[in-house]
Amino acid sequence: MKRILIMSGILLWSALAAAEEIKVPYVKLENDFFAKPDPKAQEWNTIETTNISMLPQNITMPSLKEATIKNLSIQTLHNNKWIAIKLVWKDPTKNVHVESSEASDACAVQFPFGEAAKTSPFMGNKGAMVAILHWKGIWQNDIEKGYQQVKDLHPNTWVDTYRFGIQAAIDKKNPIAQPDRKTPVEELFAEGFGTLTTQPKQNATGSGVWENGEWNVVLARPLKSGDKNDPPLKAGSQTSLAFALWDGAAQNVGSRKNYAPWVPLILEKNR
Amino acid sequence: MTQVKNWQLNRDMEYPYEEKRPNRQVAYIFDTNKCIACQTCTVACKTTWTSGKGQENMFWNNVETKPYGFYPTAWDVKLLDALKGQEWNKETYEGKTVFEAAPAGEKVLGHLPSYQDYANPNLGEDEIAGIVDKGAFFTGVHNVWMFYLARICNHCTYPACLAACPRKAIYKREEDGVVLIDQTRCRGYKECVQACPYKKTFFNMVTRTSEKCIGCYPLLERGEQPRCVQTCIGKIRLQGWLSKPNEAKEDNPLDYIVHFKKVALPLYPQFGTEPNVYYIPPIHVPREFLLQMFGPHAEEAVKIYRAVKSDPKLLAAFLLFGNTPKIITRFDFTEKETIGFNEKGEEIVRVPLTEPFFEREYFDAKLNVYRHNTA
Ligand code: SF4
Ligand code: SF4
Repeated sequence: MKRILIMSGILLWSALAAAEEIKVPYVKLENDFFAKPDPKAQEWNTIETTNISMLPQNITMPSLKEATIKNLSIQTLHNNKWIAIKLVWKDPTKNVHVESSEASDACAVQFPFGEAAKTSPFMGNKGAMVAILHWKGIWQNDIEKGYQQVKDLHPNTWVDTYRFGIQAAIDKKNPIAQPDRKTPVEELFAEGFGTLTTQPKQNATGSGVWENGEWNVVLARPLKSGDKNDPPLKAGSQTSLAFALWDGAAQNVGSRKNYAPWVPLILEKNR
Repeated sequence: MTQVKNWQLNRDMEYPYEEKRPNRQVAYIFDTNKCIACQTCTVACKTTWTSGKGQENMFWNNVETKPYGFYPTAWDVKLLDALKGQEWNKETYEGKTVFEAAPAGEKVLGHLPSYQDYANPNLGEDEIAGIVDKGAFFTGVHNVWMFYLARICNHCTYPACLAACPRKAIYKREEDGVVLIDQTRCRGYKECVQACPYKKTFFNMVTRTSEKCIGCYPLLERGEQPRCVQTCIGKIRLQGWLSKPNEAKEDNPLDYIVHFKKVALPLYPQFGTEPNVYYIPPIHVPREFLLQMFGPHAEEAVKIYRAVKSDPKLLAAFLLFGNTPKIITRFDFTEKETIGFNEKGEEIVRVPLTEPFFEREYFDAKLNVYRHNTA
């Protein structure tokens, strides 16, 4: 059953291109621009925008019936050392907290290690790994406002003592339970559904701003990081990119997401 | 979906994974008739495991008053409603389980409670099902009912939490059947919180992972019963190992009570997870309510329970409850006593079938005090 799904998936994902291609222009920029990317930086004003339609993830369970975010705008650039990808999407509510009935807004881009045509855009498949840059609203909030505590959401919470409390996930260094997070972006790899794994070495940067019902998020990574988990990129060459968006207000988490399959990404030669 | 055998439903059912029963299965018997809702179990669990940040409203053990008590709010009635008709044909369940009733695109039929739903753990506490007849307040029989339902994770044979986790971060231990969430693997998707029909996985908003009852496995590993069992004031609980139905041993007290006498029953067996906390149903509760909550054996169980006085073996098994911190794997009894043994065959507890009766003088001459303050 699983095999049949994957096979039909392979046939699908060449036919499903969300846009024809994305050009990554070379822009003469200092590396500082990428180290702390500013989604509102004026450098973006002259960069071409590609619009992409998002689809509801319904290949694996749990799934989305309908897309909760329909459109995504993409801009990219590189300086021969770093690549930056800017994602802009409409979201009337800013969701940057989590609890039992709250989820965080989030986005992700995904690079194949090998040929995109042989790699499932749904988090890769066995023998065809993908590398992922993942940004979350709550991680952005961690950095700007401090790690979320219960009182941030429920100011009247009263507790006698936490003295004997254990926080297993934090103590065990679960990458999603990081009270001293340094970046709102996480680098991961995957080889199919359920295999998402945080990379041991984190080389990506990023930043997101929510304004007037719109998220503007920039994700950046070195073209060549030397990390074996980052597929190397090269000016003048081509790769592909796939996208995912989560709407916290609609309880989007994990595979309950909007996606866009592989779009060719062409890195312009440096001038 | 594969077909697995669920003995509580007397049929095969759909489940995302193959049938794989652990080497032994942690199981509990709770006698609802003896619970006094003192919440000692709740506090014992809370102070042991869930007093950290993000666990403010988290109770792996809770005791709610039925019919109006819920933690989280409406946890069971919401699911019963969604599950629609739950018909039994004698022993066989003909309705759908939470796996079989899963909507398109979902693995399990469930619902996600909100923060507020967890914020009132004593909602409906001590509320009765109706109104006490006029005049019956001070005299006569109160013709209404309520009862206390102590709840923990059922360490289900077919856990819905495990079935729903897309990351396979939840696993069932081979050595004891305890169901755990790997705190290094969980990414806080809350699929398990939504899927567990008993609402016994919880989201921790500070660690951003889901957490659940761990069956006090460090205690199990050294032959001791969990905290909530050891501390129970009402001595309503017994924890041990439950055998597969075709391998049940008459001298294992859990097997005897569950498989042989069928006097302790699973809670909402129709959900389909094969839960491993077995309840002796409350004897004064309307039949329909019991049938819905404990399945088709409920009435018979009440009958057997009421007749325990003339059933020395069952009485012997019952008297093991709450009388030792150790896990009893075998029991025996004489005319006077019940005796519990551990895995090594060592005697660990001996309890008289009838408590010795002492009558004491009204006035204690030695201490020069009256023992009573009423005449
Ligand atoms: S009671 Fe709930 S949390 Fe416990 S094993 Fe069953 S499905 Fe999982
Ligand atoms: S400690 Fe025992 S008697 Fe008290 S509430 Fe818990 S289960 Fe009931």
